[in-house]
Amino acid sequence: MDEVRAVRVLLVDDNEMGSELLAEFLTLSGLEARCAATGEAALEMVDSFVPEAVLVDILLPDMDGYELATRLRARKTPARIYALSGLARHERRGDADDMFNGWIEKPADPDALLAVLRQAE
Amino acid sequence: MNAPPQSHPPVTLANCDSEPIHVPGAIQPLGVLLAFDADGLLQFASENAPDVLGAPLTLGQVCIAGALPPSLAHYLSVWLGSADPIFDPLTITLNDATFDVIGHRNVDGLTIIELERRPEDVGIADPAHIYRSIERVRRQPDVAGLLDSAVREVHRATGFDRVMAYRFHPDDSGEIVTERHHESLDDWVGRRYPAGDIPAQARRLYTVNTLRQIADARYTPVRVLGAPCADPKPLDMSFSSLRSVSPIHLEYMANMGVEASMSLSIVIGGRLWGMIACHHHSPRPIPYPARLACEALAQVLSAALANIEGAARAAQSRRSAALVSELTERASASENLHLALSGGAETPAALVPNDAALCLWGNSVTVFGGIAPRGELVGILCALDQSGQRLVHTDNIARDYPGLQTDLVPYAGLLACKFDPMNNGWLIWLRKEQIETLVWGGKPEKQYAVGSQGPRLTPRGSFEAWREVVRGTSTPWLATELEAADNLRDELSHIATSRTADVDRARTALLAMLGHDLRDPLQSISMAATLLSKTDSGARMGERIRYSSGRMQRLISQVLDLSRLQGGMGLGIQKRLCNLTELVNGLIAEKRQAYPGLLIEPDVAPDLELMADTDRIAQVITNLMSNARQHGAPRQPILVQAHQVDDDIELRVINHGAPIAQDVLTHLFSPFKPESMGHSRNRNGLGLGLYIADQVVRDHEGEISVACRDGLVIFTVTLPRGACGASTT
Repeated sequence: MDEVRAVRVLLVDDNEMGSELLAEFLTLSGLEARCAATGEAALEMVDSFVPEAVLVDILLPDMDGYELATRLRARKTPARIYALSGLARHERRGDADDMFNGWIEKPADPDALLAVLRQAE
Repeated sequence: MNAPPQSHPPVTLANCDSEPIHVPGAIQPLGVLLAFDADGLLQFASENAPDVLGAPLTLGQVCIAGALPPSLAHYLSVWLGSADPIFDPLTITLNDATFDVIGHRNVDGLTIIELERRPEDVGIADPAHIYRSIERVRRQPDVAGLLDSAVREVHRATGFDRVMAYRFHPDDSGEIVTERHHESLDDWVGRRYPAGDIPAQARRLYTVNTLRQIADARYTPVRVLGAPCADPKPLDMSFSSLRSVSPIHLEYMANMGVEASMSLSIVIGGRLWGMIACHHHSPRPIPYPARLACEALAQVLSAALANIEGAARAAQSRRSAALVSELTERASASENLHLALSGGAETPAALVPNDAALCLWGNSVTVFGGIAPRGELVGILCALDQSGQRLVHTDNIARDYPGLQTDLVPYAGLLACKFDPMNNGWLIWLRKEQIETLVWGGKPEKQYAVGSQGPRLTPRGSFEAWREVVRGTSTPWLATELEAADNLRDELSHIATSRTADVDRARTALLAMLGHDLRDPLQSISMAATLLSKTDSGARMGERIRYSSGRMQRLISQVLDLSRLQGGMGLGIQKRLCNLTELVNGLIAEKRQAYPGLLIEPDVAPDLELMADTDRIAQVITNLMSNARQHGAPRQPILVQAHQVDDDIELRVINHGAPIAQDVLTHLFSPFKPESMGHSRNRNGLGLGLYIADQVVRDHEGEISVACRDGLVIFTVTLPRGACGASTT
């Protein structure tokens, strides 16, 4: 009934509790959110789910967030890709700013995060 | 014959170190001195020469035929034509007396011929015996044995009443280490003499001319006369054997009742190492051949001592190196440096001779040997640290560190080195005053009649003078000892440095890990709180959780920043073009949203741009606004101003309120301020905010300052705009 389709967000994080809570918050805020606990799981989901935004943790069990971002871009996934990570500035890779559409520090301010994701609409 | 003008003033104790003793213008009356120039003209002759030779002599002329004994005349012509400055000895007979002829060429190219009347040799060994006894000396394995054996052999050979071996210490003071003497005489072993007892020019003569005899101290000098000359130059008699000696020296001998003496220099590496000194209480001339043999003995002795000393030095340096490496090994295998140093058979006390050896590490003192000084070691070393040298040493604390004298009782000498700046780690060796262990060894001095120069010229007077010189002084720290200490310091400092670096790395890594690992649970808490606050019943609870997790987040950030700053890693500032106007306005909007009742009055110029790390500058502004909100007068507005002034941007955050107290101002930009430690009024952090803000601003080559006036507290941040002028984004 809504003319505006809900923004679809894919959350990739092995901290599943945090991921689920965030998904629940996004859903309550009117977005559509799915969770993936590994990079591989995320890569499997993008074709069917087709997210407009992907939030990627950097420290994933099977690959790092940089690799996931690179592989998502290689598939021409039309999503904006954000890093959502607790890594301090100096711990990030030098080309981090070029690889992601933005870097959101954990813990993220929920409203600020929502504002960023809604830009995808 | 004409007398040369005498120009030197009378010699006294005060000026004896400038007495030109190598040009005395006189000889002892044991014989005759003649000096010829290269053309064979007689330039100098002792006044007694015509009498002894039984012939007239004219200064400035060639000796007429028959004036010199034929054999001497023959050799003179050979010697004058020889390039070698040392001539073979010769014996001649004049009027039934035997004369030793001793010839050499002096520094001015004059050929000096001394005819020394051969004395009776009763009680004096045949030179062949003396040469044989050299073998006995040479076989001695150590310094004490060598000196003792040399003294014994010289005593046997010459029959002097007293034969002593002197050794000169590193400060050139003398000590009698062994002697042989007539049974009626006092023991003098252990007696000390100040360096000044042998004036510098005498020391030089002893070094180059290694045998000197005074056959009869009550002699009347025979003048040496020079040829008339427009520019008379005194005769250099440095290598003469008949050279007349200083009246000061003769008075010293007379005060001791000594009427004859002979000395053999022990020279090692060009330095007067020691001396074999002989005394006799009646005149005692030693025949030249016996003196030559004694001189040979002294040379063999010097060579043997040099060998032993060289070997001893090498062995000592091997021992030091072995000890340093053992201590280093122990220290690197242990967590605790100072316990490691004391936890073995050998400690740093064995490295350098001392009366006490200690280690300070942090606040704990380890005593390896002896007793600790009276004062508190931490304070003493803090004072020594002012010098900034890696090795501090003195053999006279009262002179060099008068402020520390009381604290360092009972010590007079100190050697200290800092091996661990991070943990205030020091090694210290201490020595007592040398006098404390050295008293006048002799019986009360016999009441000698003293001469015109007074009682200073007696052994007792010398000893007192030595005591004055060394009062408050320890034995000096030798170059080899300083080197050994520095080697140990160097090794320990490497261990300490790498250990500090390890600890730093571990701490930083731990904090960093803690930092990002805590962010995940915080993220969950924050989300849970957000969800909770969306329900009616959870609204207030959710807010509280969000507030608390926000506070935790700030604490984590501050601790991480502090650890980076203290680890010397800096804040990792990354400058980009930053629109300060947008940034400030955005932060003001955020603050207003978070604190709806808060009054903020912005005065921000449009389009302010600078090269800066936007996140870090935001951190500074947020911190200043939070402080203004917490410390400002309630219901009064916070003023936030930002303007361009020349090439800088000035940003002010101002709140109404009482001036900041002076003692708080002093520490305002320091980490861990006294007023924020120990109580918890600062709910927003560790009081690190301004410290970090200051660091951020400094990293931008800017300044942060505070002023209190007219009921306002004004923080001003000045930031250079950097190379962004051309940009118009």
